[in-house]
Parts: sequence; C-alpha cells; structure tokens
Amino acid sequence: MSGSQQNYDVGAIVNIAEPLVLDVIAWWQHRKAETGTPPTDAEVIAYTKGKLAAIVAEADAFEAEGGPI
Amino acid sequence: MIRRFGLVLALCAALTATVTTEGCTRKPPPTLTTPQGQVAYQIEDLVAAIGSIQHAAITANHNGQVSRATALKVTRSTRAIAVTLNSAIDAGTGTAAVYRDAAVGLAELARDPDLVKFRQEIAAAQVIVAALGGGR
Repeated sequence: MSGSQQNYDVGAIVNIAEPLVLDVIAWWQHRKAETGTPPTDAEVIAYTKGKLAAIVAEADAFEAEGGPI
Repeated sequence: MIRRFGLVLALCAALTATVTTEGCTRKPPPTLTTPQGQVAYQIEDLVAAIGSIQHAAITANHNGQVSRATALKVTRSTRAIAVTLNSAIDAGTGTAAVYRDAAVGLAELARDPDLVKFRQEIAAAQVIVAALGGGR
C-alpha cells in the first residue's frame, strides 16, 4: 500500500462505497415491490450489463472528444 | 493494513444488515438459478464502483482539475475492467476469479501517483472487492 493510500479518510470511503453496494439491493426491492415477484436471471443480467455498457460508452465518448493531452 | 481491515468490516456490517451473507461474501438470492444471473448480481456493486471512478475522472477533466492524459489513463483502465466483467457474466465464471482480476486492475490505479485525486473512489472500489470476497 502506498503512503498516499494510508492517509485516506475512512468515513469518506465508506460514504462512497455503501451506496454503491446498496444500489442493487434497492433496485431489487423496488422491482419486487412493483411486480410482486423477484427479478429474473435475465432481468438481473440486463441490469448489470446495462451499467457495463454505459461505462464503455462513456469511456468511448470521452476518448472521442479529443482535445489537448 | 489495519485501516483497510476496518473499512472492510464497516462495509461488511452494511452488507450483513441488508442481505444474506456468509462472512463477508454476498450470496445471490436463491431465485437466481443460472450462473450468469448469479455473477451479474454479485458483481453489480463492483460495476457501480468502476463507473464511479471513471465518472469522477471525466468530470475532473471537464472541470479542469486533471489533465486529459490523466483522465484517459483512468478511462482506459475502467473500460478494460468493464469489458472483463461483461465477459465474466457471459461465461458465468466464479466471482473469486473475477474479483481477483478486478483487484489487480484497481491496484495498478491505486499505485499511480498521477491518480491521487481519485484515491478515495479507487479505495472504495478496493474495499468493495475485498468485502465481497476478492483481493484477499
């Protein structure tokens, strides 16, 4: 571990990490409340793959922006 | 190391309070029956963490806080991790291997002195990987 990492703010990191962890649970509960049944495998796959596709698209769009390095 | 352990425990506490866990490894709900669905569920928060790092880097560049070269360093890494995670869903491969691969990519970002500005986002992703059973 580098010196800079040893100085990180524990509370700030937990504040960043917790919503990320709880996001899928919130989606799951919302989806179940809406339909009365838990999400299917296909829906969960589509949900996560959608987020992955958004990451790739955002990276590609930034790459395509150009501009000074 | 002690601080990292404390972070993992803190996140594990949040997980334990909201989902079924065994230790700190989140298990997928029993209604998910395919390996692909189970992997997609288990890696979702890591996906969110990767997206958070990438978005922070792009925003910082747009705000003039980091150079385009620095931001590109991040986006190329996060894009590569995203592609790996997508393949892991398709293959339905075990999450231990997936988390290990992601942990390697995140460790490279964490070691890069140009990326100090994003150390908290990167650390959060590393903690998620560790809390969910990887990076050990």
